[in-house]
Amino acid sequence: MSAIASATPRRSILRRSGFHRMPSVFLIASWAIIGTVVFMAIFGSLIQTHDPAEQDLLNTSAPPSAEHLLGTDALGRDIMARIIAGAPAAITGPLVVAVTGLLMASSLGILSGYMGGTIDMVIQRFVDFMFALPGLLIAIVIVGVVGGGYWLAVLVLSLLNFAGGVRILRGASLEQRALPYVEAARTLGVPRHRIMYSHIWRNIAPIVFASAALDFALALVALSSLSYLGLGTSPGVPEWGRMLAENQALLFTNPAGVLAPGLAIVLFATAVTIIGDWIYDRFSFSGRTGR
Amino acid sequence: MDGLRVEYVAGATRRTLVDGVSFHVDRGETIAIVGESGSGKTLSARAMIRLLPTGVEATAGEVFLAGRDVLQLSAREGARLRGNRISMIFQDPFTMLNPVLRCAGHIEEVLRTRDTGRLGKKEAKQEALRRLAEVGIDDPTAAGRYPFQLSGGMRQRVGLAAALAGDPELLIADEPSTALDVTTQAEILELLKSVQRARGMGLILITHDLRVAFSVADRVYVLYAGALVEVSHAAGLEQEPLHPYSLGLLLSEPATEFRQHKLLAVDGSVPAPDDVQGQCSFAARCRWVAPECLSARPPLLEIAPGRFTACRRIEDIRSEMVVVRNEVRAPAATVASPGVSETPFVTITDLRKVFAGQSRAGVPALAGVSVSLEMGESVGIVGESGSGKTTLGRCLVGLETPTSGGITIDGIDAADYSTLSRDDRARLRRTVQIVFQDPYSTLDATQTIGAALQEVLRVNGYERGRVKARVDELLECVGLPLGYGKRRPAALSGGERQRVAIARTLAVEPKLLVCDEPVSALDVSVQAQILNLFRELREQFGLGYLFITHDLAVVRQVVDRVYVLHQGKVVEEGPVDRVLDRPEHPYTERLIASIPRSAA
Repeated sequence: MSAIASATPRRSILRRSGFHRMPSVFLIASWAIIGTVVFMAIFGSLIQTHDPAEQDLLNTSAPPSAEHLLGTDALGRDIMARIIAGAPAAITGPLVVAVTGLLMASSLGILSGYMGGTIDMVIQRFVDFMFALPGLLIAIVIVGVVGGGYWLAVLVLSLLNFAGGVRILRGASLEQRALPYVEAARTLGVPRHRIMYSHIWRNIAPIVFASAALDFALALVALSSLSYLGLGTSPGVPEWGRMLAENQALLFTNPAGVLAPGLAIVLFATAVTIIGDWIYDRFSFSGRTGR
Repeated sequence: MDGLRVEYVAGATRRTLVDGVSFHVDRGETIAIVGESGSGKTLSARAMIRLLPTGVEATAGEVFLAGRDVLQLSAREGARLRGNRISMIFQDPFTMLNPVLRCAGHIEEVLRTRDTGRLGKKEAKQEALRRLAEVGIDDPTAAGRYPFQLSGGMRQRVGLAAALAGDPELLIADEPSTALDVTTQAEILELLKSVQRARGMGLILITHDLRVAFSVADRVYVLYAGALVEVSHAAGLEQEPLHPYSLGLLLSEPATEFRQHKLLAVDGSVPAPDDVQGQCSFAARCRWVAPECLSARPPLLEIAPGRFTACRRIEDIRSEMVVVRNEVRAPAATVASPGVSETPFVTITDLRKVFAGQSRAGVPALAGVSVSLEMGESVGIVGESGSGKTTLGRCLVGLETPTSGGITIDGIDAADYSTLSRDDRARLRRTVQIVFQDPYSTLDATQTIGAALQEVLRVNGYERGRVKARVDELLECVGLPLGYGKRRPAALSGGERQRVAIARTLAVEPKLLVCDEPVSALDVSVQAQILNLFRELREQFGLGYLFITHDLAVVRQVVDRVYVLHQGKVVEEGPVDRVLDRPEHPYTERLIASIPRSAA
């Protein structure tokens, strides 16, 4: 009856187990990582101490030193500089994929869930079809055959990745559709598109953004995988996945050179996922206290 | 139980939820703890059996059960206490039972884990059947059924049998009848009372409904904002409440026997205990408030044998309270029902609605209902859950399309909204509107109140320049301060949200408002405010209502004519006073008989 007795909001496992009492270390670290990568992407050229493409053939595969913080690669290029120069590629591509996914999933998912009937059926069969396609494999084939190109890879991933989001948002919209506020809007004569893309969208926005964050992380890993395989970015362009492949040979001479790009991918992807989860937790129940 | 204090503890923030509540139950006695939501009644009882939610702790006080302090027990001892010495039944019969366990299983489980002599499997089965018979389930096949195969009332009985399986000395019943239909509600209360008498155990009944408390309890504790304001024997409290809050609670309960001239509503809503530290908790809503009420928390004093009150001005205001009581209890002149003319405003003829269900025939919700309404008339639709009353209302506003039958509203054929022309549909929207039951989900949580009202005005073609002024007008109409336009629903209480929902419908200036249980989710004192609002709006705008409710007292207060619905059919109709005073159909009689009445 009382607010506390009945309000036991869904919480993530981390929170339920009492982790939330710590001033969330994970959260702060995640924001810091994302902040760093964004900073590198925007102001990278200003803080560069070395030209990422400059080769120092006399000083190849060198371990970390004061001159080269992460050492150099097989061609004597500064790895720190190349990590920084790889940041834009780590953000723009995944961002395009995530935003496309967000738009497609919002529009199709809500349409499907709210309208129901034939429209729902058609959209869902389409989504089923998309699900049946092995996304990354198709990307490998297309990008491999057509001849690479980072933006082609981004395009292919964008088109192949939104199906999951559509399904999630359809479910969320179905739930909202039955709520009195939606029914009230209907009887008050609020137009359908407004109900769908203003009312329902705002109420499921936390899910939309959480799922977009997940898309972002998956796209980052997928694009890196493509580059690792030599698809996507053209040789010479600094990109974390490609660096991972190029620097494999350094494993025994300059381990930092291999670990750095790998770690960059893992940390950045994880940070984005954690922030996505946080967005969901933080905003799901705002405006709904007492429920 | 003495000086109990319950706090919500989350890191450094502490919120008081229950502050210094004391009560006692003797063997064989029934007490009722009465209060509105947020008063701390459930938490007090839960603290007794150590079932407080995570984050909520009993930080002071002691609970003695037969000489032992329950709050000092270890978790293990606490668990042994539950079921064996104290047990509890909950409000919701739908989630209280484990859905994958057969009914008898719930009882056997307790029987077999008891301290006193373990029973064999067979014996336990026999015993379980005997226990089910005790709560009035004679059909032995019921024991083998799963909870979902039973009705709400049956489930509540099984829950009770399971709670009694450990032969407790004390049973706590937390709103045991609230989620049930009126007729079932009466049966369950009757059952609780007889079981309590037969076993001679103590019973603590937690309820928000004073009528329920009077019908079952020997003594009543009135809880407000986490503190006791009045303790009395039931008969005394019903005769003459000795605290302004109890008076308000009692009087805001609409009368079942007659239409009141005006309902007494207590303005505002229950404050948080921390906001009223060091003062009388009710001061802000009390009409007799004096400076001394704000200077210190008044103690609970015995002013007559068995009568305690926490009002320090009680001797001064006692006579005034009697006057108020008589005023409010005065019946209004009976309203003359104009009768139905040749061409009513709304005609519903032989309406049928069948929902596609698991059975091949589908589930009929409406089986040929005919209803008509005059312009500006207020008509009640009364029935229990499953009677089809909600479906009827939804068909009227086009949220459901009837399977067959006709609806004519103001000359427009409104049976199927999807076939209407755009103009006709727009006209209907401006004629009929609906107010829903749940004040929490009826508003878009992401939208401010002002934005919600503006949206409705705009989509209905209101002039841009006048929208703002009209929003203020609407807020004023429903008695909300103008500043509320900037708030979001979360910052509003249930009653305030329901006011916003009403304002939103008024935006289109409808002629008929379908009200689907608009007050049943609200606390009694707030319920009276909203019912008064409905009455005022009717006088002001000549608004007609189709008032859907299960509550006969509520229907008596706001409607002229009433239709009684039972299993999708109208079984009785007529002027509200005639139907409620001299029912003709046996079902109506049963409905009326099941209103809780005091034992005395």
